[in-house]
Amino acid sequence: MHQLTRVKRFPFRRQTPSYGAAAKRCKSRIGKIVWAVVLAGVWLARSATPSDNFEDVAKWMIFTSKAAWSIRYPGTLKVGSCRQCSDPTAPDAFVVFRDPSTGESIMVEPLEERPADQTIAKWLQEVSQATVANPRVSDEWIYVDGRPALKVTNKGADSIETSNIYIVNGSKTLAIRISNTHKALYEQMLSTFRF
Amino acid sequence: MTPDPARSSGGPGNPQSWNRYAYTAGDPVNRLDPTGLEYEDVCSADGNYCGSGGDLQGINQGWGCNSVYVMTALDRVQMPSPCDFTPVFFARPQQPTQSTGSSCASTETAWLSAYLTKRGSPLASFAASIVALSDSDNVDDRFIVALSGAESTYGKNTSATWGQYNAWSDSTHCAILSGDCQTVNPFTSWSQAISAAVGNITGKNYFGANPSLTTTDAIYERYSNGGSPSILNTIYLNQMGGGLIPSNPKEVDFARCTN
Repeated sequence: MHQLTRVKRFPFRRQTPSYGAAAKRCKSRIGKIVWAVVLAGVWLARSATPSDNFEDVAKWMIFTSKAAWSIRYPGTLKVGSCRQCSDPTAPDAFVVFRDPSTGESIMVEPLEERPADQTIAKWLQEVSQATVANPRVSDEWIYVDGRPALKVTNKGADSIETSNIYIVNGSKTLAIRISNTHKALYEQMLSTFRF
Repeated sequence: MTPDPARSSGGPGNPQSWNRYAYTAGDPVNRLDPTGLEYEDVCSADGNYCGSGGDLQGINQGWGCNSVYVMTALDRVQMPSPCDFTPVFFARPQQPTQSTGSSCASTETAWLSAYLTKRGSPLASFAASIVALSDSDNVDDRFIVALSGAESTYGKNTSATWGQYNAWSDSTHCAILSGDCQTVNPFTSWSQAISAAVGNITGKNYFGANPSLTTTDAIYERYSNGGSPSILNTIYLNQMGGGLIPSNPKEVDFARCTN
Protein backbone atom coordinates (compact mmCIF):
# COMPACT_ATOMS: atom_id res chain seq x y z
CA MET A 1 0.00 0.00 0.00
CA HIS A 2 2.76 2.33 1.00
CA GLN A 3 4.72 1.42 -2.10
CA LEU A 4 1.72 1.96 -4.38
CA THR A 5 1.23 5.38 -2.95
CA ARG A 6 4.85 6.28 -3.72
CA VAL A 7 4.45 5.03 -7.29
CA LYS A 8 1.40 7.20 -7.66
CA ARG A 9 3.19 10.28 -6.41
CA PHE A 10 6.31 9.89 -8.53
CA PRO A 11 5.21 8.08 -11.67
CA PHE A 12 8.03 9.39 -13.92
CA ARG A 13 10.77 8.04 -11.68
CA ARG A 14 9.43 4.61 -12.22
CA GLN A 15 9.45 4.98 -16.00
CA THR A 16 12.33 4.57 -18.38
CA PRO A 17 12.19 7.70 -20.50
CA SER A 18 12.34 7.22 -24.25
CA TYR A 19 14.48 9.38 -26.54
CA GLY A 20 11.37 11.02 -28.00
CA ALA A 21 10.02 12.07 -24.63
CA ALA A 22 13.38 13.55 -23.63
CA ALA A 23 13.53 15.53 -26.87
CA LYS A 24 10.05 16.90 -26.26
CA ARG A 25 10.95 18.01 -22.76
CA CYS A 26 14.16 19.57 -24.04
CA LYS A 27 12.27 21.49 -26.73
CA SER A 28 9.74 22.55 -24.17
CA ARG A 29 12.47 23.91 -21.89
CA ILE A 30 14.14 25.76 -24.77
CA GLY A 31 10.78 27.21 -25.69
CA LYS A 32 10.24 28.41 -22.14
CA ILE A 33 13.71 29.97 -22.04
CA VAL A 34 13.11 31.71 -25.38
CA TRP A 35 9.78 33.07 -24.15
CA ALA A 36 11.37 34.23 -20.91
CA VAL A 37 14.09 36.07 -22.83
CA VAL A 38 11.51 37.66 -25.15
CA LEU A 39 9.31 38.76 -22.26
CA ALA A 40 12.31 40.12 -20.35
CA GLY A 41 13.33 42.06 -23.46
CA VAL A 42 9.88 43.55 -23.83
CA TRP A 43 9.81 44.47 -20.15
CA LEU A 44 13.24 46.10 -20.37
CA ALA A 45 12.28 48.01 -23.50
CA ARG A 46 9.18 49.38 -21.80
CA SER A 47 11.20 50.27 -18.72
CA ALA A 48 13.70 52.18 -20.87
CA THR A 49 10.97 54.51 -22.11
CA PRO A 50 8.95 55.30 -19.03
CA SER A 51 7.18 58.15 -20.75
CA ASP A 52 5.42 55.67 -23.01
CA ASN A 53 4.26 53.55 -20.12
CA PHE A 54 1.01 54.56 -18.53
CA GLU A 55 1.91 52.68 -15.36
CA ASP A 56 4.78 55.11 -14.82
CA VAL A 57 2.66 58.26 -14.91
CA ALA A 58 1.90 57.68 -11.24
CA LYS A 59 5.63 57.93 -10.56
CA TRP A 60 5.96 61.29 -12.33
CA MET A 61 6.58 64.50 -10.45
CA ILE A 62 3.69 66.87 -9.85
CA PHE A 63 4.02 70.58 -10.56
CA THR A 64 1.45 72.70 -8.75
CA SER A 65 1.08 76.35 -9.67
CA LYS A 66 -0.14 78.98 -7.24
CA ALA A 67 -2.60 79.82 -10.00
CA ALA A 68 -4.43 76.64 -8.95
CA TRP A 69 -3.49 74.20 -11.67
CA SER A 70 -1.22 71.18 -11.72
CA ILE A 71 0.42 68.84 -14.18
CA ARG A 72 2.52 65.69 -13.91
CA TYR A 73 5.86 65.40 -15.68
CA PRO A 74 8.69 62.89 -15.93
CA GLY A 75 11.59 63.62 -13.59
CA THR A 76 13.97 63.72 -16.57
CA LEU A 77 12.45 67.03 -17.70
CA LYS A 78 13.79 70.33 -16.38
CA VAL A 79 11.38 72.89 -15.02
CA GLY A 80 12.14 76.48 -15.97
CA SER A 81 10.63 79.90 -16.12
CA CYS A 82 11.66 83.46 -16.80
CA ARG A 83 15.03 84.58 -15.41
CA GLN A 84 13.49 86.89 -12.84
CA CYS A 85 10.92 84.27 -11.88
CA SER A 86 12.65 82.79 -8.86
CA ASP A 87 9.42 80.92 -8.12
CA PRO A 88 8.04 79.16 -11.24
CA THR A 89 4.85 78.40 -9.32
CA ALA A 90 4.03 82.13 -9.13
CA PRO A 91 0.63 82.82 -10.73
CA ASP A 92 1.98 85.25 -13.34
CA ALA A 93 5.00 83.18 -14.40
CA PHE A 94 5.10 80.93 -17.43
CA VAL A 95 6.48 77.44 -16.86
CA VAL A 96 8.53 75.38 -19.29
CA PHE A 97 9.12 71.64 -18.92
CA ARG A 98 12.13 71.04 -21.11
CA ASP A 99 13.93 67.90 -22.22
CA PRO A 100 17.59 68.91 -21.80
CA SER A 101 18.76 66.34 -24.34
CA THR A 102 16.59 67.66 -27.17
CA GLY A 103 15.58 71.17 -26.12
CA GLU A 104 11.95 70.24 -26.79
CA SER A 105 9.47 71.59 -24.33
CA ILE A 106 5.93 71.98 -23.13
CA MET A 107 5.04 75.46 -21.89
CA VAL A 108 2.15 76.56 -19.72
CA GLU A 109 1.56 80.27 -20.08
CA PRO A 110 -0.87 82.43 -18.11
CA LEU A 111 -2.85 84.77 -20.32
CA GLU A 112 -5.11 87.72 -19.68
CA GLU A 113 -8.28 86.98 -17.75
CA ARG A 114 -11.42 86.44 -19.78
CA PRO A 115 -13.72 89.47 -19.66
CA ALA A 116 -17.06 88.69 -18.05
CA ASP A 117 -18.98 89.63 -21.20
CA GLN A 118 -17.01 87.30 -23.47
CA THR A 119 -18.13 83.77 -24.25
CA ILE A 120 -15.46 81.14 -23.82
CA ALA A 121 -15.53 80.14 -27.47
CA LYS A 122 -15.04 83.68 -28.75
CA TRP A 123 -12.44 84.48 -26.12
CA LEU A 124 -10.32 81.43 -26.87
CA GLN A 125 -10.44 82.13 -30.59
CA GLU A 126 -9.36 85.70 -29.88
CA VAL A 127 -6.41 84.81 -27.66
CA SER A 128 -5.32 82.07 -30.03
CA GLN A 129 -5.11 84.61 -32.85
CA ALA A 130 -3.37 87.30 -30.85
CA THR A 131 -0.79 85.24 -29.00
CA VAL A 132 0.71 83.22 -31.85
CA ALA A 133 1.63 84.78 -35.16
CA ASN A 134 2.72 81.67 -36.99
CA PRO A 135 0.55 80.25 -39.79
CA ARG A 136 -2.42 78.26 -38.55
CA VAL A 137 -2.70 74.70 -39.80
CA SER A 138 -5.85 73.52 -38.05
CA ASP A 139 -7.98 73.93 -34.97
CA GLU A 140 -10.39 71.72 -33.06
CA TRP A 141 -12.26 71.59 -29.78
CA ILE A 142 -10.96 69.06 -27.30
CA TYR A 143 -11.48 68.37 -23.61
CA VAL A 144 -8.77 69.03 -21.02
CA ASP A 145 -9.59 68.11 -17.44
CA GLY A 146 -13.20 67.81 -18.51
CA ARG A 147 -13.31 71.35 -19.84
CA PRO A 148 -13.65 72.37 -23.46
CA ALA A 149 -10.37 73.65 -24.85
CA LEU A 150 -9.36 75.04 -28.21
CA LYS A 151 -6.43 73.20 -29.77
CA VAL A 152 -4.71 75.10 -32.57
CA THR A 153 -1.82 73.73 -34.60
CA ASN A 154 0.58 76.38 -35.87
CA LYS A 155 3.44 75.94 -38.27
CA GLY A 156 6.61 77.45 -36.85
CA ALA A 157 10.13 77.96 -38.05
CA ASP A 158 11.54 75.15 -40.21
CA SER A 159 7.94 73.92 -40.67
CA ILE A 160 7.93 72.49 -37.14
CA GLU A 161 4.38 72.35 -35.88
CA THR A 162 3.32 73.40 -32.41
CA SER A 163 0.06 72.51 -30.71
CA ASN A 164 -1.35 75.41 -28.75
CA ILE A 165 -4.14 74.51 -26.38
CA TYR A 166 -6.22 77.32 -24.88
CA ILE A 167 -8.33 76.67 -21.82
CA VAL A 168 -10.40 78.72 -19.40
CA ASN A 169 -11.34 78.06 -15.80
CA GLY A 170 -13.76 80.77 -14.75
CA SER A 171 -11.97 83.87 -15.96
CA LYS A 172 -8.47 82.37 -15.69
CA THR A 173 -7.03 81.69 -19.14
CA LEU A 174 -4.05 79.49 -19.89
CA ALA A 175 -2.17 78.44 -23.00
CA ILE A 176 -0.42 75.07 -23.10
CA ARG A 177 2.11 75.02 -25.90
CA ILE A 178 3.44 71.67 -27.06
CA SER A 179 6.16 70.85 -29.51
CA ASN A 180 4.84 68.20 -31.84
CA THR A 181 8.20 66.47 -32.10
CA HIS A 182 7.64 64.48 -28.91
CA LYS A 183 3.90 64.56 -29.22
CA ALA A 184 3.15 61.29 -27.40
CA LEU A 185 4.97 62.27 -24.22
CA TYR A 186 3.53 65.76 -24.10
CA GLU A 187 0.00 64.62 -24.83
CA GLN A 188 0.36 62.15 -21.97
CA MET A 189 1.42 65.07 -19.79
CA LEU A 190 -1.57 67.05 -21.03
CA SER A 191 -3.87 64.26 -19.88
CA THR A 192 -2.60 64.84 -16.33
CA PHE A 193 -3.38 68.57 -16.35
CA ARG A 194 -5.82 69.57 -13.61
CA PHE A 195 -7.35 72.78 -12.35
CA MET B 1 -15.50 60.43 -31.81
CA THR B 2 -13.31 59.11 -34.60
CA PRO B 3 -11.37 60.50 -37.53
CA ASP B 4 -13.10 60.31 -40.88
CA PRO B 5 -12.03 56.99 -42.44
CA ALA B 6 -12.81 58.23 -45.92
CA ARG B 7 -9.40 59.65 -46.76
CA SER B 8 -10.31 59.92 -50.39
CA SER B 9 -13.09 62.38 -49.71
CA GLY B 10 -10.92 65.43 -50.30
CA GLY B 11 -7.86 66.64 -52.08
CA PRO B 12 -5.33 69.42 -52.41
CA GLY B 13 -7.99 71.83 -53.53
CA ASN B 14 -9.97 71.34 -50.34
CA PRO B 15 -7.89 72.32 -47.29
CA GLN B 16 -10.47 70.88 -44.89
CA SER B 17 -9.83 67.46 -46.35
CA TRP B 18 -6.37 67.58 -44.74
CA ASN B 19 -8.01 67.37 -41.34
CA ARG B 20 -9.71 64.04 -40.68
CA TYR B 21 -12.02 65.72 -38.21
CA ALA B 22 -13.03 68.16 -40.94
CA TYR B 23 -16.32 66.33 -41.35
CA THR B 24 -17.36 68.36 -38.34
CA ALA B 25 -15.69 71.52 -39.62
CA GLY B 26 -12.91 71.02 -37.09
CA ASP B 27 -15.32 70.78 -34.17
CA PRO B 28 -15.87 67.08 -33.44
CA VAL B 29 -17.27 67.86 -30.01
CA ASN B 30 -20.18 69.96 -31.10
CA ARG B 31 -21.00 68.72 -34.56
CA LEU B 32 -22.15 65.44 -36.02
CA ASP B 33 -21.91 63.70 -39.34
CA PRO B 34 -24.51 60.95 -39.22
CA THR B 35 -24.83 60.59 -42.97
CA GLY B 36 -21.15 60.86 -43.78
CA LEU B 37 -21.91 63.68 -46.16
CA GLU B 38 -22.07 66.90 -44.19
CA TYR B 39 -22.02 68.02 -40.58
CA GLU B 40 -25.12 68.87 -38.65
CA ASP B 41 -25.04 71.68 -36.17
CA VAL B 42 -26.39 70.53 -32.84
CA CYS B 43 -28.37 73.80 -32.60
CA SER B 44 -31.98 74.16 -33.68
CA ALA B 45 -32.67 76.01 -36.89
CA ASP B 46 -34.10 79.05 -35.10
CA GLY B 47 -30.98 79.33 -32.98
CA ASN B 48 -32.82 79.03 -29.70
CA TYR B 49 -31.80 75.57 -28.67
CA CYS B 50 -28.61 73.60 -28.94
CA GLY B 51 -27.36 70.19 -28.07
CA SER B 52 -30.13 67.86 -29.13
CA GLY B 53 -27.99 65.38 -30.96
CA GLY B 54 -25.51 62.76 -29.92
CA ASP B 55 -24.07 61.46 -26.71
CA LEU B 56 -21.40 64.07 -26.39
CA GLN B 57 -20.26 64.50 -22.82
CA GLY B 58 -22.69 67.09 -21.61
CA ILE B 59 -23.14 68.83 -24.91
CA ASN B 60 -26.52 67.16 -25.39
CA GLN B 61 -28.09 68.77 -22.36
CA GLY B 62 -29.33 71.84 -24.17
CA TRP B 63 -28.70 75.53 -23.76
CA GLY B 64 -29.45 78.76 -25.54
CA CYS B 65 -27.38 79.64 -28.52
CA ASN B 66 -26.90 83.24 -27.52
CA SER B 67 -25.91 82.55 -23.95
CA VAL B 68 -23.21 80.71 -22.09
CA TYR B 69 -24.28 77.48 -20.46
CA VAL B 70 -23.07 77.04 -16.90
CA MET B 71 -22.70 73.43 -15.76
CA THR B 72 -23.60 74.18 -12.16
CA ALA B 73 -24.52 70.57 -11.50
CA LEU B 74 -20.99 69.43 -12.28
CA ASP B 75 -18.17 71.83 -11.63
CA ARG B 76 -19.52 75.22 -12.65
CA VAL B 77 -17.57 75.17 -15.87
CA GLN B 78 -18.81 77.53 -18.48
CA MET B 79 -19.25 75.67 -21.71
CA PRO B 80 -18.78 77.46 -25.00
CA SER B 81 -21.95 77.62 -26.97
CA PRO B 82 -21.57 75.67 -30.20
CA CYS B 83 -23.43 78.51 -31.88
CA ASP B 84 -20.38 80.68 -31.31
CA PHE B 85 -18.34 78.38 -33.49
CA THR B 86 -15.87 80.12 -35.74
CA PRO B 87 -14.81 78.43 -39.00
CA VAL B 88 -11.49 76.62 -39.03
CA PHE B 89 -9.72 79.01 -41.37
CA PHE B 90 -10.42 82.65 -40.85
CA ALA B 91 -8.83 85.99 -41.51
CA ARG B 92 -6.11 86.95 -39.09
CA PRO B 93 -4.52 90.40 -38.92
CA GLN B 94 -1.60 90.36 -41.27
CA GLN B 95 1.74 90.73 -39.62
CA PRO B 96 4.47 92.24 -41.76
CA THR B 97 7.68 90.32 -42.25
CA GLN B 98 9.68 93.23 -43.56
CA SER B 99 7.99 96.11 -45.28
CA THR B 100 8.12 99.84 -45.84
CA GLY B 101 6.00 102.83 -44.94
CA SER B 102 4.19 104.12 -41.92
CA SER B 103 1.33 101.63 -42.31
CA CYS B 104 3.79 98.83 -41.68
CA ALA B 105 4.75 100.29 -38.32
CA SER B 106 1.14 100.87 -37.30
CA THR B 107 0.16 97.32 -38.30
CA GLU B 108 3.09 95.94 -36.41
CA THR B 109 2.26 98.07 -33.39
CA ALA B 110 -1.34 96.85 -33.41
CA TRP B 111 -0.24 93.24 -33.57
CA LEU B 112 2.37 93.65 -30.83
CA SER B 113 -0.10 95.48 -28.64
CA ALA B 114 -2.61 92.64 -28.96
CA TYR B 115 0.14 90.08 -28.31
CA LEU B 116 1.12 91.82 -25.06
CA THR B 117 -2.40 92.73 -24.00
CA LYS B 118 -3.58 89.13 -24.18
CA ARG B 119 -0.75 88.28 -21.81
CA GLY B 120 -1.66 90.99 -19.36
CA SER B 121 1.70 92.68 -19.93
CA PRO B 122 2.34 96.22 -18.71
CA LEU B 123 4.39 96.69 -21.88
CA ALA B 124 1.28 96.55 -24.07
CA SER B 125 0.85 100.32 -23.90
CA PHE B 126 4.39 100.76 -25.15
CA ALA B 127 4.13 98.68 -28.31
CA ALA B 128 4.53 101.75 -30.53
CA SER B 129 7.68 102.73 -28.69
CA ILE B 130 9.15 99.24 -29.03
CA VAL B 131 8.45 99.18 -32.76
CA ALA B 132 9.76 102.69 -33.40
CA LEU B 133 12.97 102.26 -31.45
CA SER B 134 13.63 98.80 -32.91
CA ASP B 135 13.06 99.95 -36.46
CA SER B 136 15.32 102.96 -36.08
CA ASP B 137 18.12 100.78 -34.71
CA ASN B 138 17.60 97.92 -37.21
CA VAL B 139 16.64 95.19 -34.80
CA ASP B 140 13.62 92.89 -35.03
CA ASP B 141 11.12 94.34 -32.55
CA ARG B 142 9.72 90.86 -31.86
CA PHE B 143 13.09 89.82 -30.52
CA ILE B 144 13.07 92.71 -28.05
CA VAL B 145 9.63 91.60 -26.87
CA ALA B 146 10.69 87.95 -26.73
CA LEU B 147 13.63 88.93 -24.54
CA SER B 148 11.27 90.55 -22.05
CA GLY B 149 9.27 87.33 -22.10
CA ALA B 150 12.26 85.15 -21.32
CA GLU B 151 13.52 87.54 -18.66
CA SER B 152 10.40 88.63 -16.81
CA THR B 153 7.29 87.15 -18.52
CA TYR B 154 6.85 90.40 -20.46
CA GLY B 155 7.45 92.66 -17.47
CA LYS B 156 4.98 90.85 -15.21
CA ASN B 157 7.67 89.47 -12.90
CA THR B 158 10.15 92.28 -12.36
CA SER B 159 11.75 91.20 -9.12
CA ALA B 160 13.03 93.46 -6.37
CA THR B 161 16.60 92.44 -7.16
CA TRP B 162 16.43 93.62 -10.74
CA GLY B 163 14.31 96.67 -10.08
CA GLN B 164 10.96 98.02 -11.17
CA TYR B 165 10.52 98.48 -14.96
CA ASN B 166 13.59 96.29 -15.55
CA ALA B 167 11.74 93.81 -17.77
CA TRP B 168 14.93 92.92 -19.66
CA SER B 169 17.04 92.18 -16.56
CA ASP B 170 19.46 94.97 -17.45
CA SER B 171 22.49 94.36 -15.28
CA THR B 172 24.07 97.79 -15.56
CA HIS B 173 23.37 98.43 -11.92
CA CYS B 174 25.14 95.20 -11.03
CA ALA B 175 28.29 96.34 -12.79
CA ILE B 176 28.15 99.64 -10.98
CA LEU B 177 27.98 97.73 -7.73
CA SER B 178 31.05 95.62 -8.62
CA GLY B 179 28.96 92.67 -9.68
CA ASP B 180 26.93 92.63 -6.51
CA CYS B 181 23.32 92.94 -7.64
CA GLN B 182 21.28 94.75 -5.05
CA THR B 183 17.90 96.37 -4.96
CA VAL B 184 18.73 99.30 -7.14
CA ASN B 185 16.20 100.57 -9.59
CA PRO B 186 18.03 101.39 -12.82
CA PHE B 187 14.95 102.81 -14.52
CA THR B 188 12.21 105.20 -13.63
CA SER B 189 9.88 104.26 -16.51
CA TRP B 190 9.08 101.53 -19.03
CA SER B 191 10.25 103.84 -21.81
CA GLN B 192 13.70 104.05 -20.28
CA ALA B 193 13.88 100.29 -19.99
CA ILE B 194 12.80 99.76 -23.61
CA SER B 195 15.34 102.23 -24.90
CA ALA B 196 18.10 100.58 -22.86
CA ALA B 197 17.12 97.11 -24.10
CA VAL B 198 17.24 98.12 -27.76
CA GLY B 199 20.50 99.99 -27.24
CA ASN B 200 22.02 97.02 -25.46
CA ILE B 201 21.27 94.56 -28.28
CA THR B 202 22.43 96.89 -31.05
CA GLY B 203 25.46 98.05 -29.08
CA LYS B 204 28.97 96.78 -28.57
CA ASN B 205 28.03 93.61 -26.69
CA TYR B 206 25.97 92.01 -29.46
CA PHE B 207 25.48 93.50 -32.94
CA GLY B 208 28.61 95.59 -32.48
CA ALA B 209 30.72 92.79 -31.01
CA ASN B 210 33.57 91.17 -32.90
CA PRO B 211 32.45 88.75 -34.18
CA SER B 212 28.98 90.20 -34.34
CA LEU B 213 26.28 88.32 -32.45
CA THR B 214 23.06 88.52 -34.44
CA THR B 215 21.16 85.29 -33.84
CA THR B 216 18.80 84.43 -31.00
CA ASP B 217 21.04 81.60 -29.84
CA ALA B 218 24.30 83.57 -29.86
CA ILE B 219 22.78 86.64 -28.25
CA TYR B 220 20.96 84.81 -25.50
CA GLU B 221 23.90 82.63 -24.55
CA ARG B 222 25.82 85.77 -23.66
CA TYR B 223 22.80 87.68 -22.43
CA SER B 224 21.93 85.02 -19.85
CA ASN B 225 25.52 84.08 -19.00
CA GLY B 226 25.44 80.72 -20.73
CA GLY B 227 21.78 80.02 -20.28
CA SER B 228 19.91 77.90 -22.76
CA PRO B 229 18.30 79.91 -25.57
CA SER B 230 15.48 77.39 -25.90
CA ILE B 231 13.04 79.39 -23.78
CA LEU B 232 13.71 82.49 -25.82
CA ASN B 233 13.32 80.58 -29.06
CA THR B 234 10.10 79.02 -27.84
CA ILE B 235 8.71 82.50 -27.52
CA TYR B 236 10.29 84.05 -30.55
CA LEU B 237 10.08 81.26 -33.08
CA ASN B 238 6.99 79.41 -31.94
CA GLN B 239 4.82 82.34 -31.02
CA MET B 240 6.01 85.49 -32.70
CA GLY B 241 6.11 84.54 -36.35
CA GLY B 242 9.30 82.56 -36.90
CA GLY B 243 7.29 80.45 -39.33
CA LEU B 244 6.60 83.47 -41.51
CA ILE B 245 10.20 84.28 -42.27
CA PRO B 246 11.65 82.37 -45.20
CA SER B 247 15.30 83.07 -44.36
CA ASN B 248 17.04 82.14 -41.12
CA PRO B 249 14.42 82.97 -38.52
CA LYS B 250 17.03 83.25 -35.81
CA GLU B 251 18.66 86.30 -37.39
CA VAL B 252 17.33 89.40 -35.67
CA ASP B 253 19.53 92.19 -37.03
CA PHE B 254 16.97 93.82 -39.28
CA ALA B 255 14.16 96.33 -38.98
CA ARG B 256 10.70 94.94 -39.51
CA CYS B 257 9.53 98.19 -41.06
CA THR B 258 11.72 100.58 -43.00
CA ASN B 259 10.90 104.05 -44.22
